[in-house]
Amino acid sequence: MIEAQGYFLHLAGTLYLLLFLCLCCSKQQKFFCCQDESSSRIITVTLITAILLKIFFPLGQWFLPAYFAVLEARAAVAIFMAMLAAIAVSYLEIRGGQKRLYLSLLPVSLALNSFILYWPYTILLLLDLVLLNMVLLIYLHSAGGKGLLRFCTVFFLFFAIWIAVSINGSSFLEKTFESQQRYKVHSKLKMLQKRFVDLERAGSSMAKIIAIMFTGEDTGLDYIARNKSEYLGKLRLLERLSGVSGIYLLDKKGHAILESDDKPNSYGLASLPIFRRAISGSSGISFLATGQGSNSFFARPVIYKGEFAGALLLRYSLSKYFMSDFEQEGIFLIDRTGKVILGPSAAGIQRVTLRDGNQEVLSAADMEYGVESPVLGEPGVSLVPYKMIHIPLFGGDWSLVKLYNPSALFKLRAGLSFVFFLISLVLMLLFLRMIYAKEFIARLEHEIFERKKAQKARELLADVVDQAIIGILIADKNLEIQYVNKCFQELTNYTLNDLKEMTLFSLFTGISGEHYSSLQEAVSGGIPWRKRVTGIPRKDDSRFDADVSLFPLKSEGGRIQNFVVAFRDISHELALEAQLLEAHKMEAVGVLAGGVAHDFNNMLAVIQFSVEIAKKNSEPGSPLWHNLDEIERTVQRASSIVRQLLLFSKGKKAPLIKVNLNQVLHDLETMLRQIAGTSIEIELRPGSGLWDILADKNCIELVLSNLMINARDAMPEGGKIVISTYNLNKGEKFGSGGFFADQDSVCLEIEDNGYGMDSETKAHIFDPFFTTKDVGKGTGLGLSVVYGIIKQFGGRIEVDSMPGSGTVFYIMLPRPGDDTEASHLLPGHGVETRFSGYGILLVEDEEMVKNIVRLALSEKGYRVFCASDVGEAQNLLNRHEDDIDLVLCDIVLPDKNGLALAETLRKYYPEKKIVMVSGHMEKGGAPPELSEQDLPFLAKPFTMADLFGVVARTLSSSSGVLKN
Amino acid sequence: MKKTLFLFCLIIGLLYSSELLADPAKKILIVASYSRHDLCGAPQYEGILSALRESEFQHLDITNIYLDSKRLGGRALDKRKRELIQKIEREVPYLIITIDDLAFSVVAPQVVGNGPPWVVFSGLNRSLEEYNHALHFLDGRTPVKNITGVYEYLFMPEQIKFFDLISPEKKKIALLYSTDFMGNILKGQVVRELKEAGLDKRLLFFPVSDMDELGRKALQIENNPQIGGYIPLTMSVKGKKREKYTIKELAPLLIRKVKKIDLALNMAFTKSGFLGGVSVDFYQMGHQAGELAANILREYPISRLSVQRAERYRFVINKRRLKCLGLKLPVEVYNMLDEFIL
Repeated sequence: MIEAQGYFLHLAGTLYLLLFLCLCCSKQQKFFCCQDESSSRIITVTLITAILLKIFFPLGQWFLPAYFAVLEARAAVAIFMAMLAAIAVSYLEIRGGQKRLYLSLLPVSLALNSFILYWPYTILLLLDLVLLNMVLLIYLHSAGGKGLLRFCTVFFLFFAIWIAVSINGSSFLEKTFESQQRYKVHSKLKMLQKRFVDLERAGSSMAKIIAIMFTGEDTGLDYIARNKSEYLGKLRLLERLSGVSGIYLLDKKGHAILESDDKPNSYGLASLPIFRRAISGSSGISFLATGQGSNSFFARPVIYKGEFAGALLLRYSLSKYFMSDFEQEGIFLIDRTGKVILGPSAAGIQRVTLRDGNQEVLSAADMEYGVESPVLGEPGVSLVPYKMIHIPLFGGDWSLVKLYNPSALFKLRAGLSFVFFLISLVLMLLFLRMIYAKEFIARLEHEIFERKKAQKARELLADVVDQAIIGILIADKNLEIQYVNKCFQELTNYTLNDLKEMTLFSLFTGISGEHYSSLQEAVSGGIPWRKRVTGIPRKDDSRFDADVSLFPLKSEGGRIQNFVVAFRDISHELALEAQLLEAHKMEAVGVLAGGVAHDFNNMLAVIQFSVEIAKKNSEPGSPLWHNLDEIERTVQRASSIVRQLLLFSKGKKAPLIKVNLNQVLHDLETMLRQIAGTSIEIELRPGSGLWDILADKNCIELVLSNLMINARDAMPEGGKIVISTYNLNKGEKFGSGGFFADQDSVCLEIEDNGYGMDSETKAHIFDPFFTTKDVGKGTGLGLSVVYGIIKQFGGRIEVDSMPGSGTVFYIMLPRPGDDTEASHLLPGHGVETRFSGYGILLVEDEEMVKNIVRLALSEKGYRVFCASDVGEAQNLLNRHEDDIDLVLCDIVLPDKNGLALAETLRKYYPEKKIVMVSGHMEKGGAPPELSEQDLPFLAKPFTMADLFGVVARTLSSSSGVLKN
Repeated sequence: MKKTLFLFCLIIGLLYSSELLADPAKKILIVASYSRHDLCGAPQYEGILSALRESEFQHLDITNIYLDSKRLGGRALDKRKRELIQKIEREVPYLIITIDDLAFSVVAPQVVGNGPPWVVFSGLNRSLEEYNHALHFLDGRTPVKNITGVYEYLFMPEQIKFFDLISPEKKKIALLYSTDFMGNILKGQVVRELKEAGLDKRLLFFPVSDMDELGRKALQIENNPQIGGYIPLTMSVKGKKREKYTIKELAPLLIRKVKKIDLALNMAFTKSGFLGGVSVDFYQMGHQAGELAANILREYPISRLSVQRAERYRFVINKRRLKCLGLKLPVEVYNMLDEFIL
């Protein structure tokens, strides 16, 4: 029989299993750790089996006591369950995948419960409970993490304390109850024992009295035997008076000498141990169940003349003395072997052996008669095993035994168990509720977190939309405007309130009809639309150009909910595009002008030389001389035009030095005022802290004079010219045309209040030969030259002008870096020295130039060798190495570049002097490659003086390179 | 997580283990003054056990300690006493049952007070007044502290009646006693009991301390015609080499030297060869003490468990000694015997 704690531990274990089952079968997906359905099923089956097993043990004892008492039956169930457990484990192992610790531990618990069936030890139950706790904790840990584990641990600890308190409390109550019951039973047994002791004392006294009465100095046993009739009456009288059931006087051999009834031998008196003890000198009592009933025999020795003569035996009928007690109380008298000597008379219980070895508790199965016996309790209640209390009698040879039915105890236990189970169930339900509440809160928190996250994302998105650098408009499906972002508001000057009364289409009033109709089609068709739209009206009726994208936002059902329109302002982009186009155009024009200038220079050089020669051969003042003089002036003017063309066309930088624009303005102020004339007021506004720039002062002068001339011409009736300088940081906006500085620059601003320009004029002002002036008043090269110069300086020129509102030119010149060094212009002029007789190799592909230069040099006394290309020059050098002192070489030659020849000369004829000639450079300027090689340079067209000067200076230099 | 799990298992284990450990069997210590097979001690022990077995307590943790004072002496006995005291201090048994005076005199001073441990004595021969004077545990016969028990009664007046029955001359009775601890105690008890019955003048005292003296005194008793019998109380007598001789060993010597009625105080003495007489029933005395002990285990208030006197005696005669002395007893005497030992 399991004790109270066993029941409670079983119940607790069942509750844990139920809890586990609830968690596993919970609809809360999170707790259903095992996603594998088969594993889930096997866990559920295992749990249910374990629960059944748990319930089977206590219920088995209650409802199947006979079956349950059979060890083999329990063993069979245990083996069956163990096999189930083994199958479950194997199945889980085979399935793999979902290998979790608790999956393995659960079948172990099942197996443990199987063992408990066979070995119902409390320690195994405890072990099982600890195991279940572990399994649950591991399970909950894997399901809910550390937070849940901590909560569950605290609860389980609390529950463990509750179980322990319940077990101890109920155990205490049960023990108290049982003690009271036992004490009651024991008291009855003690009273009966006392009566047996009294019987023994009475027997002893009575035996002594009888012995004294029957024996005397002369009356031994022989005498009594002989006079039996004399003593028999006395004996029977004594029997009646004393209440003894029989008195027997036996000789030493056990033969009856005198007996109060006639059947002494039927009791087997001589075989009684007390008879043998009596004839050995000791008196004593013995109990015997005989065919007629149960008797108590008292024996004492009979001593005659100092010798043992026999024994006197007194028989007490136990039935007579004790039967009512035995019947009423259900008490048994058993001997050392457990054989019942006296007991309740019903159902022949006397033939039953109550004790089997050391087994103190007899089960109902052993009590096949007892079950039917009303003495042993009601049959309905006798399903539970009886308990036995016994006390030894006379040193332990006999025992008084009482079987009592512990049903009252079981009722108490059932009550306590029920209360325990109920409270535990409430606790478990509370626990489950809390778990679910935690789970719910966790989900809620997660949802709130997700919502906050989404909210943040939405806010971010809203910020992105609101602060986007493109204008965004959202209209509903009725095209009523719902939202516009900041950029849109800045772009159009409309606020959302302004747009409330407007529809989407009204924003596009005035755009091209083609665009408008296509927009209408896109909106009505619910398809995306993208166009570059010009002339979108602002609130103030000004217009802007933008790339407009429109797309519908559709619901899940495909229905249009909103229209989103994005406006990307392309004004700046268009300006840049225009600039780029202008740059390309200017570059092309520059290339064209450069080419033309080269040929012109060659021709002008021939004309110049020819005129000079002709003038030498004519009389000054003669009509011919005047004509030649006119030709020469015309050539010079033409040469000036060509130089300006070259200045415009050069994409490469002229040698630059660091200058301060304020200083330059200060220096040129007088000249500028002369150009402007008296009717025009000039105001200089030099900026403070103006950065230096890299530029050529002459070029700046040219730029300013050109711009001043244009401004003056734009104000025939007088006006005002304001010249300002200021610094511009990169990205800084300037002017009213929305210009931005693309780098740190110094801005030179020249503003007039003349009649201004329309956009058409503005688009061509930098084109060469474009002019709005009357014929003969302008060459059309002024602004082209300005443009070319500014480009050379790496700068930028912008113009802002509207008809009737004057013109502003913005010239941005980049601020040089700290490490930028100004290049130095090589002097183009030298000291003419005559070196008559020196040999000069003239390398020129242009025949006219070659002839005229050869003629001029020859006239000066030089020995001239002529070559048309590099190859020929090299041949001449080889042949006349000693005769040639200087090589005058054109850069552009048919076969190779003149610089290649210069390189050859440097390498093989280092003593030879070189002068490079080119018509592609302005006067006084040299291409960078020449500057790098420090070669003297003569720009076409040149005068004879220039030619002789350069040749003389070069020949006079020691190294062949004209050093500055 | 591991720590939590470990703590959890530990607490569960502890909590549930406490249930397993709860309600352990109450510890009982039985301290006997003599050896396991002592003629006086062993029946008492059996009686105690019988009574405990008859109680409703199924599980009792009983430990036995034998001081074996008749064999051990001096240091060895002192050592055994110390060990006993240490054991009591260490284990604090719920109940201590002492058998005979020495065990009580060792245990009682150590534990007297409020129980547990409770003390139940059996077979005290020294007067309770003497003990109470030292320990103050009784108010009359009612315990006021944690000690109760059964003191031995030698039934000396009944013994004198028996002596007069077989020797009607009413001669003097020699009291041959050893001067050791137990000898003096028994002598005192005999005197006390007889004094209460006004029979103390029948006694002549013969104290002995060693074997030589024993021989001389035995001879004096034998040769003194006024003496009809003697009561042997030579519990322990020293030999020439200071070895100890107990009553069991001395009985043959006395029987041989003294051919007079030797009144044995108990059945054990009778079985040793003395003639016998009224003997205190040691088994029953132990049983009485055992029942007191059971009541203490039932947690009865000790004030309700008054000190008891041994109740039962047996009338026992040694047949061999009877023949040796050539005595002829009346038939009635024979038939009054509870035991006639061969």
